[in-house]
Amino acid sequence: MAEKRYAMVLDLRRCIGCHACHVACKSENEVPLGVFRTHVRYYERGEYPDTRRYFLPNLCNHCKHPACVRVCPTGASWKREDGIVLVDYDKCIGCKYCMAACPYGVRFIHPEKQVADKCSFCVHRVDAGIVPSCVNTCIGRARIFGDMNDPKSEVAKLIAANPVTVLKPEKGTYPSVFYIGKSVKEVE
Amino acid sequence: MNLPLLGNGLERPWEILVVIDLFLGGLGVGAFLAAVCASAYSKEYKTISKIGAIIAPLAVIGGLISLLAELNQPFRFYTTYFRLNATSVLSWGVWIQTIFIIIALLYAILWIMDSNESTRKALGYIGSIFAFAIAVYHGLFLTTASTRDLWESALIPVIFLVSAITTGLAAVLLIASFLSKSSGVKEGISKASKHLAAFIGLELFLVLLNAIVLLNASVGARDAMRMLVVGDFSFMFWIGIIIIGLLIPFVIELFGLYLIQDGGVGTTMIIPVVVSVLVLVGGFLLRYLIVTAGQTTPLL
Repeated sequence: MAEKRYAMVLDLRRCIGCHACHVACKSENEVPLGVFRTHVRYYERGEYPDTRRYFLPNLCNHCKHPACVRVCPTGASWKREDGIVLVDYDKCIGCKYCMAACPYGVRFIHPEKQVADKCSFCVHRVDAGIVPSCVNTCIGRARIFGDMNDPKSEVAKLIAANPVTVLKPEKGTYPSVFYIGKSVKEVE
Repeated sequence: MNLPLLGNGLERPWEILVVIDLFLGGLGVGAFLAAVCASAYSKEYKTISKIGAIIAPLAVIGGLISLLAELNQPFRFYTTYFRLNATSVLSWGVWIQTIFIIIALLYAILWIMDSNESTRKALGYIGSIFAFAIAVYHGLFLTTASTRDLWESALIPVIFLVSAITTGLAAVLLIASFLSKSSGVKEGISKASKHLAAFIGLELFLVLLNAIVLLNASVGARDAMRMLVVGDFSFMFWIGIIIIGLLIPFVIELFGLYLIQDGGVGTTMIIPVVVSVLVLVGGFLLRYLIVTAGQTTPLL
């Protein structure tokens, strides 16, 4: 029986940029104003009149080889056996090395707790057997969550059946968030 | 137009306090190495050694205070001594810096009391290993974060090492210039100036080499270095660091050395003072630029 590896698939063909995931996450995790555990970025491609706008939801990638865990001096940034990367608020000293090391900019300093924080894949929900809040609320069903090592799960099937990409693969972090329909380079 | 793609809330987690820590830390270990070398050369350079020995722990402690001010949970700082992570350079650095401060303080005290020469020498040599390690660690912890393209260069730790030596020497020379009436100081300044010129030249070479290497490396590295060479940070890079911080002091130092010939420094200490100030400013700007521009990388 293979170990669990929780992953998320983001089907960008379905994302309409409604930000419901963004709001649900804020509400579920009581994320303070000014910082985000997940949000949606916008891209425009082409020159007028042939332009299109695309949406890219972003969250912690819960990497297989996370840079944040590697550099944390106290071990406050740690990875569970099932792949979820978490922050131990009691150990964090706020050195922000993890924030500088994360290639995706998904970490922030919690304004009230004054420690590092980020998306936790709604670990409190996952441990109770339900999907993260953003996945639950996505009206386009663009977010799919599950154990990618379980061949019967929806994420595993999507990853097997579609060309998926990840963000910044050259950094060697092996993210667990996969995108369908993302072009190779978003930026000019 | 694409919306800004930088991070989340705090786009650059490390700001001026980290730069001050790196600057003072580098200066301190450089001053220590200068002190040890000066005393290894000759007893004549006693005052130079004493100045370096006293600057070293004070500067490194100053750097640590700046680091503590930067932490969001400074009262948990002591936990880093026992919660270790072998893959985190920062984790190693805390122990190495603490041990160095203890050695540097003892070294300074022995210099002030002018006693126990053999113990002092031993402390000097052991401390030098730690000083070297700290200077390299300043660059290495940036490089091993390895997800910011500007820092992904093997030359970064070397640049920090050489910059520590030049800023340390410059600080020692700056203070020594005001004490030039004491015996042996003029000769010491003259000798140290020759070394400083060499290290400034080396630093200039390394910074330019690093720029050339990154401009021909991966796409991310190229984009990052372009920010320094032609982009938003180009004024600070070319004017602040290359010209003011390295080229001008290098030229002045060579010209000054040519005027000085052997030994006699003349009646003016203007040259060491000017050169030292320029080198210190350049050293600070170099660290500021590397830390700040390095964090300005697109995140997608």
